[in-house]
Parts: sequence; structure tokens; C-alpha cells
Amino acid sequence: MTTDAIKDRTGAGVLGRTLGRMLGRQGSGTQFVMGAGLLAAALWALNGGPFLNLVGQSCAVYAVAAIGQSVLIGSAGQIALSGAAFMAIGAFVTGSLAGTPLETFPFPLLICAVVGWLVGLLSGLPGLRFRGLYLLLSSLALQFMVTAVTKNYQSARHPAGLEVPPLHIGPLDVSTGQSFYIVLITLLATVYLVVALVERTGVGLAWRAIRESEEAAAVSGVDAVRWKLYAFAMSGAITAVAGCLMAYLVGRADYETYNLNLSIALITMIYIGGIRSRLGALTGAVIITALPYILQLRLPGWLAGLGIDANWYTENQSIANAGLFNLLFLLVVLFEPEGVQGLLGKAERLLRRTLSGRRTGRTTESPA
Amino acid sequence: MSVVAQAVVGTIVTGSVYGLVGVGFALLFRASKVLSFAQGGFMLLGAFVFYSLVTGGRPFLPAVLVTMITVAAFSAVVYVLIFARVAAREAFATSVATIGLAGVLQAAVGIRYGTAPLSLPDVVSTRAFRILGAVVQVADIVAVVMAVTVVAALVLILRHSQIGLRMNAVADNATLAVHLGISSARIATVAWALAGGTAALAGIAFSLRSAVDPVGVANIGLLAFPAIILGGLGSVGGALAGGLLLAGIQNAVRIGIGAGWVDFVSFALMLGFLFFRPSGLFGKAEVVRL
Repeated sequence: MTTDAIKDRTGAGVLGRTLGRMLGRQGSGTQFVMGAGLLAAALWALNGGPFLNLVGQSCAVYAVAAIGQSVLIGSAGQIALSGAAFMAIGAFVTGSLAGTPLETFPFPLLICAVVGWLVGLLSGLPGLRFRGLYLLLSSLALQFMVTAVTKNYQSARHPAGLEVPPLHIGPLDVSTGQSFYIVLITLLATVYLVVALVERTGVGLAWRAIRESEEAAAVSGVDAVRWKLYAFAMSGAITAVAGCLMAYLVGRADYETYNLNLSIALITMIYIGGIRSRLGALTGAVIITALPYILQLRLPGWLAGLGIDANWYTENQSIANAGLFNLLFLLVVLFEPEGVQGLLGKAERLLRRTLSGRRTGRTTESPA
Repeated sequence: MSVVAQAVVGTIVTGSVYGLVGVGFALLFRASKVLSFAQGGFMLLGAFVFYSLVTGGRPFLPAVLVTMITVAAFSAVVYVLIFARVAAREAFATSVATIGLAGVLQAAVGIRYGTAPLSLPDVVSTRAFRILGAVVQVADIVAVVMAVTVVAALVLILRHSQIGLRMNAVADNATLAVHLGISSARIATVAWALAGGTAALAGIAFSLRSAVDPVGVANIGLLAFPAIILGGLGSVGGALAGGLLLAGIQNAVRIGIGAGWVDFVSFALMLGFLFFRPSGLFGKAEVVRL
């Protein structure tokens, strides 16, 4: 710490010193780069016209879902494959509320959060009895059961899917374009802040303790059962809210959207971005949501430039993208579990080492 | 009467397919505590390699053998190249990563063969028998014979051969087995090869009866999870028994309640077993808590 301070004083001017103090800790540079990048991307999408607005809207919705999953998987360390099930619950609750007095805006969101909280609590019960593989299997069971229930409900009542009315806040129509994007970003920021605040308290500490070692946490007086259930409930609530927003984004709720592949995609997001932080979850959500659009626009051109026939890609776009994401997921889980954040962190460490190496080199030279 | 008889026949055939996929899960879990989500992917690979060979004019038996060996070799190579280094340290991370492998295999097959269902030309005799009011095709008998042969062979191998005994030793106590000079990496490679081969057979058995498409076949691989939990994770014979039991329950639900509730009941059953009897009907109790 003191050597850092000395180094800062040798830095150039006040700006360097404050920046140096802010970025003094390993990892903070990575966070700064990721945060700034996300913020820039969000602002770019805001003023980028209808298409970018649309991409930004889906990014924001998936980002909320990814935060929901990262509370459970990243913070509390309980790997579950049921993200899409909770989104389905949110979407179907929103769809069922359409036409009732409760369809006015904040109510569907709040009801989704409450229902998601309760189902999350229920889904946490298996997690009390076992963890690891068995929990993974029980979440798989939940995913399939929710899909079956929503499918049966939908085919019995609304074969074409449940319609969701355009989003209004008071008299204002905010269902499309920039205004909808602003609403989504505001909600995303709110969720982010709430989770950040919760994790700053003892709750976050308890989750981290449970993640590292449940036995050790219990021995140190952490009520593992209680906080684990809270993690499941909070994750369920946030993910269900994401499902509600998704329903508003698409304009309907259809069980086919919320299949196992979506659950896997959500887990891929938080692993690719960086499993240990919310910033990682956001980054992963943006990467996985935006990448298909970029590939669709650019990849055929790139492949043609390399002299490779791009037909196989353009004809099988969604399958090829799914394959690519699955490959990324596989590699990230096995070889770089910290994802993008881990890679940036490594680069930062390298940069710091070379920088401090040069500085120490200079100090050894100067006395001579 | 004939509806029930037909349902029983369907149960035995479907159960055999579940069993064939399930033995692979059991072998892998015993050898390395890895629960592979990629079994459906290997099954898919088997079905489509077999499809290519058969439509290319190869006769039935050589096609089965070539498919099995190809997929087994591929599975072993994938393990050695991608999973081996991590699997030894972290069985759980490896299990999670196999989800990705399943998706990659599914996408590869989808790009190569398209997503529309493909049906095989008649490779085995199209003759059908009538037994107690149920129509039984030769393909059904072939599928069941395959499953019974594979499970019997595996049980014999595990009981009596050198490699089988080593696999049992690793399943019992991996650390001790390694201290006694058994290479757990080699055992795991063999287990991956066997799991790939049996999954390929499951794919073949499935494609004899139904049109195959990437999504449908991969779903069979996922539906094998309730089957193996019923039978007991890590029990080879239990995988077949669990498969038959699950298929029977599914048919009962289909007839009694409606086809829309088959998945729900299957997975609710799995959840119930996870809660109250995680070792399944035939599993050993000590492999339960992870």
C-alpha cells in the first residue's frame, strides 16, 4: 500500500494521483474498463436509432435476467439450470394479468417479483438437502415441469400465446423505441443497485461464505439454510421480473421462448462475463445478446473476404450461433471460469507488473 | 386389451432406448463422478452417422459396428483432448461443461443434416408379428435385444474382467484405487469410450423406429435423467430397470391423463426421488451426498 502511494507521488500531477488512487488495487482497472465500456454501449444504443434501440432493449432484459442468475450462481455458488423457468413464470404472470384491473404498469412487475420470490423459495428446498449435481438435476426438473405447465396452460387457453398489452406508464405510451429502452435501462439500474446494496450487507458476506464452503460457513455461525433460501428467492424474483420485461418486449408470452436452451444461454452469459461479479453478468448478457446481430451483419462478409463460402452460416444462423455459444461456454467453464473479467484481470496484472518493473528499474538506475 | 398390449410393447422398446443411454451415464458417473449431459449429443451423433452409412448402402451389422466404434473413439478423444485435465480436479465443473458439449454436437449435426426429421430406409426386415393383440416389428425386437445384450455384457465386464474390476475399484474409492496403481485417467478414458459407444447404440435403436431430428433425439438424452435417477445413479443394471419403469409410467400417463403431462410427471417423479430416495431403486447410498 505504501509503495503504491510512493509510486503515485512519482506519477504526473493531480489527475494521475487521483486516478492512481482509484485504480491502485488489482482488479479495479478491469472493473473500470468494463463499467465504462458498458456505459458507453448503453449511451450509444440510446441515440443509435430504432435498430440499436431494439438490440439495447433485449440486452437490458437479458441483463436483468443475468443479474438474477448471478445472485444465485455467482454470489451464493448454487448452480441451477432453471433461469428460463423463472422467466416463463414472469412472462405468464404478466400475460395472465392482461385485461384485469392489475394490468396497470407497476403491478405486473411487482406481482412477478412476489411470485418469483415464492417459487424461488420453493425451488431452494432441494438445495437444502443437497448441492452440486443433485441440485443441478432438481433445477433441470423444475425447468421441464414449468415448461410442461405453461405449455398445457397455453394450448388450453391461448394457442397463439398470451397477449401482453403495450407498456403504459400513467397516460404515457412507452412501449417502443427510445422511451421503452429508457424504462428498461432505469429498471436494470435499479435492480443492479438493489443487488449491489444487498450484497454489501452481511447477506452478501453470508452468500460468499456459503459459496466458498458451506461447512466452514455453518461453523462460523452463518445460518446457511436461511441465507441459501434467500439467494434462491431473490434470484427467482429478479429473473421473474426479467421474464415480465421480456413479455412486454415481445408483446406476448409463449412457452417455446423459455426452454432449456434459454436457461443454458443465461448461464453462458454469467460465465462468459465473469462469474464472480454483477459487472461480469452485465458484460456477458450484452455479449451474448448482441453477438448474433453482429455476426448476422458482418460474418458473411468476413468469411467471403477470407474466401470461405458463408452459405452454411447464413442458412443455419440460429443453430450455428447456438453451437458457437455452447463452444464458448464449454471453453470458459473448463479453462477460464472467470470469463472476460478474468482475462482482463490477467491483462491488467501483466500491465501492472511491466509498469512497476519499469519503475523499479528506474529507481535502481537513478542512485547510480 | 390391444391398447394396453401395444402400450406394453412401446414401453419395453422406449425403456430399452432410455436404458441404453442411461448405462453410459452410470459408467461415467462411476468412473469419474461426472454426470454427462452430452449423452444425448453422442446418441444424436450415433443416429446420424448410422443414417449416413445406411443411406450410403452399407448393410445393417457393419453399419452398427462402424457407428459404435466411431462414436466411441470420438468420445474418448474428446475426453482426452478437452476434459481430461480438468475432470481429474473438478468433476462438477466438467459436468457443467458437458452441457456445452451437448449443444456443440447438436449444432454440428443440425448444420450438417438440417433440422427436419429424417427417416431411415428399412434396414431391418419390415415384418411384424402379432403377439397378444399387439403389433411387434422386427425393429422393436432388434432394439430390445441390443439393450439387453449391452447391459448384460457391461455387467459381466464389470464383474469379471480386469478392466471392469479396476472400474469398480475407482468407483468405490478413487483415491485408494490410484494408490494401488490404477490409472484413473485411463479408466475414465475407457468409460467415456464405452459411454459414447452405448449412446451411439441408443441412437441407432431409436432411429430404427422413429424419424430422427437433432432436437427430438437430444430430448431423449435429457429424458434419460429421470430414468437413471429412478434406477440409481451409478448402477448399470439399474439404468435399464429405471428406463423400463420410466417408459411404463410415461405410457400410463399418456393414456390416463394426456400426452401433455408426460414430461411433467417424469420430472416430478425425478424430483420426488431426489428428495426422498436419492440413491434410486438400485443405487448405493454412499454416492448420494455431494
